[in-house]
Amino acid sequence: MDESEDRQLLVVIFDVNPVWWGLKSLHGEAQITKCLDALLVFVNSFLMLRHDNQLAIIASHSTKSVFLYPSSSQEGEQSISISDGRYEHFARVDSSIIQDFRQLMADGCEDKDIRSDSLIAGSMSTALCYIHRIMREAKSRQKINPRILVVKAADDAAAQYMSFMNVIFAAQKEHVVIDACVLGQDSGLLQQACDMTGGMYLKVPTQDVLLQYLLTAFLSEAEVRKSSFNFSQTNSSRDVDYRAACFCHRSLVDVGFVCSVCLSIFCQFSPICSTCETAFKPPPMSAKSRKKRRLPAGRSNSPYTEGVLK
Amino acid sequence: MAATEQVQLMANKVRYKKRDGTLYLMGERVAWCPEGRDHFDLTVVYSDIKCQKVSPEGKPKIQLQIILLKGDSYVFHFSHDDPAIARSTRERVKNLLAQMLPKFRRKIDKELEEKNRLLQTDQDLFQTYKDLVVSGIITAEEFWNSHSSKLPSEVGSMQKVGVSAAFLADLRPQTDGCNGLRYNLTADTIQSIFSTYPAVKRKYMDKVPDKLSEKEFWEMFFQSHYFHRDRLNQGNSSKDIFSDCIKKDDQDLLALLQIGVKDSFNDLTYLEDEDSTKAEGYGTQADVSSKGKPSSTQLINKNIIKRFNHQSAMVLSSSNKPTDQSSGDNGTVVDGEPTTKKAKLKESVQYDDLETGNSQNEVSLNLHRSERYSHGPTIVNQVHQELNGQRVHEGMHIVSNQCRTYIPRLSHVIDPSQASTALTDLSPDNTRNHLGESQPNAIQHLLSPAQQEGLKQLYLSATELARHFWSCFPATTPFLQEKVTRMCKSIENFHQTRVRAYQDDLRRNMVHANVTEHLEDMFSAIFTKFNSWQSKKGGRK
Repeated sequence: MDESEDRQLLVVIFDVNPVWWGLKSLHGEAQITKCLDALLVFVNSFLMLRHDNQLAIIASHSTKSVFLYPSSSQEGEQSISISDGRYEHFARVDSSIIQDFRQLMADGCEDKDIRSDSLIAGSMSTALCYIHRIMREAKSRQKINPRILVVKAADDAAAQYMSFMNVIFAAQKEHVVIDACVLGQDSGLLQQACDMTGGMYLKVPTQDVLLQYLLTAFLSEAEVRKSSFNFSQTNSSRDVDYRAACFCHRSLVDVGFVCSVCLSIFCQFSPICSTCETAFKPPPMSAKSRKKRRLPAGRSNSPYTEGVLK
Repeated sequence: MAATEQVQLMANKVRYKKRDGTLYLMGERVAWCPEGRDHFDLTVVYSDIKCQKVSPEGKPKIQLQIILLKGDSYVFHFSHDDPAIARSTRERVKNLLAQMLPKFRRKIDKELEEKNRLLQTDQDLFQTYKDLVVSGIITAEEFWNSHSSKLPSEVGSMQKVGVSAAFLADLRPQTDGCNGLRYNLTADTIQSIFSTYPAVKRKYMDKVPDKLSEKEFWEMFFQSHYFHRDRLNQGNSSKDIFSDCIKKDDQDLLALLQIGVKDSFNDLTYLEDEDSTKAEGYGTQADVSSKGKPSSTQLINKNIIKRFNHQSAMVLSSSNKPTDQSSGDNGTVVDGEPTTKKAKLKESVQYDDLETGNSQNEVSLNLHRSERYSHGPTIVNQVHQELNGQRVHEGMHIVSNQCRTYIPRLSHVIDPSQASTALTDLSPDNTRNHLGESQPNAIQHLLSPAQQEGLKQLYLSATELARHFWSCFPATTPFLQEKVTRMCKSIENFHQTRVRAYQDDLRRNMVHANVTEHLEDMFSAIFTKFNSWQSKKGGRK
């Protein structure tokens, strides 16, 4: 194998929200086990790139995040009899993953687990902590490049917004690239994550082609992707929705009003900021439209500014 | 002859073009009138004069030449019978001219020079200038009005270059081969000598060029003991014109000692500490050596040190001259002394950074409902699903069954045909659109770099014109109103000439996309605004 590439540490976050997968199975559109198959092949290929590539898989359930590999359960070390001549490492990985997956799904389909979203932010934080630990342990030896691949199924949850953004900033700081492979609907949060950390965001049309997508796009790391012809220019930033949400309705706003004291965002003008109770003058109505001013349209003597929030 | 002009100097017997006459130097111009007439044959305004030249010393003809900015030159011949008088007349004329010329010259040149320099350094500015001013769309004044922030004019006063303390020592003589020494004197050195030793300057003014030539003056200077190290006070060298300078220097030193040091922080005698100032090495102890009479070397050393002190004092005073005059009133210093001393001490002891934080006259931020900051936006695309429906449970059942009976079949994960369609989807042409890269009709792809440059220039000029236009509103004064109409005309002009030319050029090069659409929008907004403003104005009247 080519020694000029660095060792990689790949953490795959697999979204196993039972509600979503169940509904998809009902409609016959997707099946969780097939997805796991594809993931296993992908992971094997990844391990085949370099003998010392490291791997971790986290299953992101609706109520918990579980490490599928390296196995968190105690019995992970029992010897597995290999009858088909596979590479031992693959066999170990596969069996560990499958075992823990079965365990998780056996316990995880209760009524209490019915939620429409998965704990993606939590899984990502776990992944970042794991990466941090491995990086620290590996410091004395060779360099290792970490990245996170999120295979997302369920929809975004508004409640996870803050934690998600924190995770993204932490990943930025640690120079961890976040890639996203989305099976369900487009996720704005993941788009932002990929854009800010320099990863790639792909939406897979059907589940059948998932493996091909994984192998083509996500097998190589971000550095190598830059030299590739088709993946070097990912989504331009203006396609990613960075709009902020207004504080009153929690809806995304393009142009809004920002209180200059507490920086809270509103979609309409209100004479008193509801967060910090500062009073503001209403904007004077100007008879002549001033379209071409180079300065923003706010008057200089009023304490609020009108700006474009992007 | 204009009676209002003030005649500063009148020089008789000045020949111009081989005719006798009189040269007049007025308040603002130089004029020459032939003998016997009463009108000026030649008039030159000071601001037109670039420089003046004099004929060399050795020539019998005593002449002065004035060179104009345009390149013309006029020569005046001072033809008095007595060459000394002629020379002195010429010197007076030359000095006066030298004083008057800078006053008139510098005001205009400096600004022009700055503007030229600015235009040369900033290419964009130069291009905009060419577009707008050279083609007559706006006047140069307006242009510079709007860009005056870039002009470095009237920046703070330039610092004068001080006198190097070693300037005399730097004058290293070079041996001339045959027992002589060459000293190289530059104008800077001469300036330093004059500002440090005003006595020498006075002598120079007296003697040169009437009694001694410059060369002779400097020779005597260097030969004199005044300059050399071991200056012993030889009273009998009357030939040495600098002997009285030595005496004057001694007097100066004594006078300086009298004045003392104003700043009590720097005054050593202020310290009444017995040990420090009275100790050896501070110069306050008289040289009480064992010998009764000081030896010659000691005397020489003392002299040298005295000279050093004197020269340092002169060098310092040459740079302090303007400030000394301002702080010359000693009367008020006494009152303010304790406060100034305290202020100085405080300034050197306290650091702003290390002070404790600012006073608490800030209003604290009180946030109600701060949990608003931690919530994100509601996702628009959320489809509200019935989470407690029957289907959900069914689905979960199915999932748990699948997982329980899961046997991995890793060799049959994907169908080849599916894989190939996926591959084509991910291949370059499709990913461009799929991944949303810069649209195929972005400017970079349509226009060549030269055309992009042209478009950029168009935008620069157009936005500047638009800014001038929009800044006129509300048009309260007649000047603004007139400016509005003028700007509108110039914008129309610009539109017709430059923008159309650019569009034609694009069309000729088979670029069919309409890249100037935004420019056209801006212009139409300006035109509609102008029309509505005009109709309103007309309606009001």
